[in-house]
Amino acid sequence: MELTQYQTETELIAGLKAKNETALVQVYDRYYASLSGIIFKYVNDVELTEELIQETFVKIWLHIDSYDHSKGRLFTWMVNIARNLSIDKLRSADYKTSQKTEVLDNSVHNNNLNHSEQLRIDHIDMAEIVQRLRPEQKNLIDLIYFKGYTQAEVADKLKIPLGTVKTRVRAAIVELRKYFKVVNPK
Amino acid sequence: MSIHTFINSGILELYVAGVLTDAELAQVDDMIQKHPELQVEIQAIIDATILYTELHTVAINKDKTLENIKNAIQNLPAPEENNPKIKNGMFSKNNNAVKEDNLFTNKEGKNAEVKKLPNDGRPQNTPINRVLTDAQPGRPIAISQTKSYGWLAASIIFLLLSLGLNGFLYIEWDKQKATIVSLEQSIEKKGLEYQALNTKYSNTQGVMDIFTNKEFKQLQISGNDTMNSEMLATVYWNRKTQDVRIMPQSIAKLPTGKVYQLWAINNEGKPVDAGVLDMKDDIGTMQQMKLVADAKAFAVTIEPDGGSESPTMPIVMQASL
Repeated sequence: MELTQYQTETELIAGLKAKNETALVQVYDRYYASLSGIIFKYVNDVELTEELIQETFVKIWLHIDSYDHSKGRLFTWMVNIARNLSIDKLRSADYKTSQKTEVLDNSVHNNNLNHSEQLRIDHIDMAEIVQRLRPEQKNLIDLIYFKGYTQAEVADKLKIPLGTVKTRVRAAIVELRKYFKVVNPK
Repeated sequence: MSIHTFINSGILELYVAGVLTDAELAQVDDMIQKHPELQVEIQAIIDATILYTELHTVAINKDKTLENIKNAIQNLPAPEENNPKIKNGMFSKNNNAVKEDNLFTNKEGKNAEVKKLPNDGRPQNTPINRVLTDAQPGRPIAISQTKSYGWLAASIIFLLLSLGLNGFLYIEWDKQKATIVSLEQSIEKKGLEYQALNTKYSNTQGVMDIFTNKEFKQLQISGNDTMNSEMLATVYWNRKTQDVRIMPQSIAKLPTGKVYQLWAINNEGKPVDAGVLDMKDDIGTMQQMKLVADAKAFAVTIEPDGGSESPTMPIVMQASL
């Protein structure tokens, strides 16, 4: 196991900027599962997810100097890198020829969380909580957190008023956090 | 905006998702500068998001992938220039994040876009097409000239449009300004009317209180000879609190320099000043007078402006209790 030597996000970013490999490993340990979840939502393929995770962290390593703290947190920045790489992959020629055209069928409209093979065992209880989210809430946060839809795009897609988007996302996240406090009483 | 309202608006959730517009992003950054404690809330949202995304994850080979990453970064060539795409596009939503719909409907990719262009083989005689057809190798001068004329024309057109729009907006603004001024005036007017009504209302309430208060003795005083027979007023007197009110009901206008003065005739038969009547008020308005300790009758005389210490003129109205 690696030593967790960076206590704060600021320290972690400084470590990455200093090209310290320990910092990268720490970032990887903390975020690889989350980013894999996002990438897998796009490509629906384990090998491809591994490949894109690799590309994502190499990109983080290479471009950490362009990370601007005033524009968002490290997590947000990394999520966008993972998203953009996934999108680029889906558009690339080699992907299109690899007969994986059905990939997005398994997209945000699929409310069925019973893909137990996708769920990590330590999150089973969490899955129950998510099941309890109203379908429109789940759709909403899937579009925003996985697909990177803007407020306007979500409003358009789900045919709900623009002003409702933010408040519904808030309500859903608050619901998730209730549970999070119980399982992570840090 | 209060920090509470700000948090509850849900903007921070979208901030964490990285889908805010540049303007919203600036707003959030501004709030974070002012309220660093917002980072706690943001971290909680990040934690929940991580948990939620992990829930949908897939079991990749964690260690092997990490080894691959380590190998990759060790074998990297010299650091490349910052990619502007990375620099600019990572926080706010922009063009390089393609919508799912596009991925579905535009499977031919670039070819499909090309098909949308007018392509009948003959360039049309529009400025843009001229530029395009002129833009061929071997004709560099023509390109730059046509291009600059095109841009010049476009700039002028744009300038004219912009001037026209400015004019239009100015006129609109002027109209709106006039509307606002007249609205303000009417609001002010309504305010004054309201105030006046309110005063009237509380006066009426006061009058009602006196009418219904049994401690107030009610005494009609009237003209005592043929000249003043039309004159009528009502005096209210509370012996306990010594409070005296008068309500003129029918009373002649006086020339300037003259006033009506109320007298309480005490038990010794002496008139005691109870104040002068304010004739600015309408007939039928109750007026508060001076306190009167004891009285067996009330009387009114006409006195010089400001009133007198004792009556100097004959009584025009009177009545005994």
